[in-house]
Amino acid sequence: MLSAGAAVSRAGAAVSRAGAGVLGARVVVSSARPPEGCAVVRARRATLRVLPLHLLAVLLVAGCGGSPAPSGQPAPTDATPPVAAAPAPAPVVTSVMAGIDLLFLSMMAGHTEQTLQIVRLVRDRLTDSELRTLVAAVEATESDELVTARGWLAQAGRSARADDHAGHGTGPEQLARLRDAPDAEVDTVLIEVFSAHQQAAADLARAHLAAGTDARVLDLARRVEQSRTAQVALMAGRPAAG
Amino acid sequence: MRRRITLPLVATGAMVSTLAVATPAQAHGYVSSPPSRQALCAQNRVPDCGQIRWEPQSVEGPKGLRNCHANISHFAVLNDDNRGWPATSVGTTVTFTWVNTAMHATRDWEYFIGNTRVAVFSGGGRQPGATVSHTVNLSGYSGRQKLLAVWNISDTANAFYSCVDLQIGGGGGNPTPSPSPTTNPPAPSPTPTVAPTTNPPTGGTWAAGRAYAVGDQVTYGGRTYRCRQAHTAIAGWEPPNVPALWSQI
Repeated sequence: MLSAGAAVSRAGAAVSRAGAGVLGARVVVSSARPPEGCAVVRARRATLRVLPLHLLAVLLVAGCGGSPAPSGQPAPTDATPPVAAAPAPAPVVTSVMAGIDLLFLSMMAGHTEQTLQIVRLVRDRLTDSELRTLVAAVEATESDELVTARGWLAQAGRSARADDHAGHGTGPEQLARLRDAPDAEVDTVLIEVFSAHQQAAADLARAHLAAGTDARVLDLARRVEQSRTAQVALMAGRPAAG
Repeated sequence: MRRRITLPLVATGAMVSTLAVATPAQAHGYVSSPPSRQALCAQNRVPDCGQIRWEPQSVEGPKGLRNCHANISHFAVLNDDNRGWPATSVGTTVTFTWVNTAMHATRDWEYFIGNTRVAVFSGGGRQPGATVSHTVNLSGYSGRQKLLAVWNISDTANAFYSCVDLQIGGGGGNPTPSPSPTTNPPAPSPTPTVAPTTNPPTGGTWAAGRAYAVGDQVTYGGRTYRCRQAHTAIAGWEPPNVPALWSQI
C-alpha cells in the first residue's frame, strides 16, 4: 500500500503544477501563510486579510446550520431551530469549545473543502448511477457540515484556516488524476481516490472521539466516522472497485 | 523500577490510513491518545497552559531533544512536571495515536521512557496518513511514567515531541480518560441491511442500506421525514442528522 502510494506520488509530481489551478483559492491563502512553525494566531491573521468581508459575515452567522446537536450556547442567530428529533437529555456541554475541538473542526473543514472539489470534478462524468447518487448526496451533506464547522469556528473567534491543512488529505496530483482520467476510468479512479480521502476523515473522526471534549463536536465526529466508513464500504462494493 | 528492554528495530504496530501527497507540506502532529500534555491543555483539562492549547500539534524542534517542549520557551509549561498532569491508567500494552494536521515524509517515530528508547517505528521516508497508531509494549515498566513520543521528519532537521503521562499496570487495555458525552439520536435504527433493493413503502421505518428517492417518506425516532435528495441510507445519515437529505414533515 505504501509503495503503491509512493509510486503514485512520483507519477503525480509531474502534473501537480497543472493541479494548482484546481486549488486556486487554497494557493492564495497558502501564500499568505508564514512558511514555518506558524502559530495559529498568525495564520488566522493572514486568513482575515485574504477572506472577503462578506464571506466572513456568512461564516459568522452560519452557526446553527444543519447541526442537530443540542447546543450549549445560543447561536447568534437562532431563527432556524435545531432539526433534531427529540434530542436525548442534554449531557454536560462545555459552553466554550476547547482548542482540541476547534483543531478538529479546522481539519475537517479543510478536508471537506477537498471533498467538494473531488465531487465537482467527477459528478457529471460518472457512469455508475449508484456512484452518481452517492457523490450528489455527499455534496449535499458535506456542504451542510462545512457550514456548521465554519460557523462554530467563527463563534469561537477562529477561522477555518486556523490550522495548516494544505498538506493534509488528498494532494493536487490526486485531483489531477481525477480530472485527467478518461471517461471509462473515472469511476475506478474516483473509488480509489475518494475511498482513501474518506477513510482519512473517518480516521480523524475516530481519533477525535477518543480525545475531544465538546458534545456538539463529538456528535459531528461520530457522524463523520460512521458516514465515511459506510461510504468506503459502499464504494468497495461497486463494479468499478479494483 | 526501570528495566532496559529490547524491541525489534521496527516493532509491530498498526499504521492507519495512507495518503500520499507529492507537495512538501508543513509537518504538524501530536499524540492525541492517550492524551499527551499538549492534548490535556487543548482539552482544558490542565488550565493555564498558554498558547499551546490552541496548537497542540506545534511542538516542533530539532531532532535529538529529550524534553517535552522542544526548547520552545512559550511551550515550557509542557516540561514542568509540577503542573499536576493527570496520568492515564494503561495496561502494559499501549496504543498511541498521533493526529497529523499536516503530513511530512517520516524517518521514524520513537518512544522513550527516561533515556531508554522503548520502541521505534520506521516511517520509510514516506508521508503518513491523517492519523497514525502504534502499539508499544511497556511490560518492563510499572507505576507512573513520563513517556516521550517523537516524530522524526525525514527531509527536515526537525522532529515533533509529545510527552504522555501514564500509570502503567493494573489497568487493562487502553482506556481513554476523556469524558465521552454523546448526543446520539433516539437511534431506533435496526441493524443495517445491506443490499439496497426496492424503495420501501411510504411511511416505512428508515433503514441503512435502503435506497430512497425524492419524495419517499420514512419514520425515524417517532417522526416522519420526506426525502429531499436521492441516496442510499447509511449510518451517520439518519434523517434528523442530514437536513440536506431529509426534511421533517
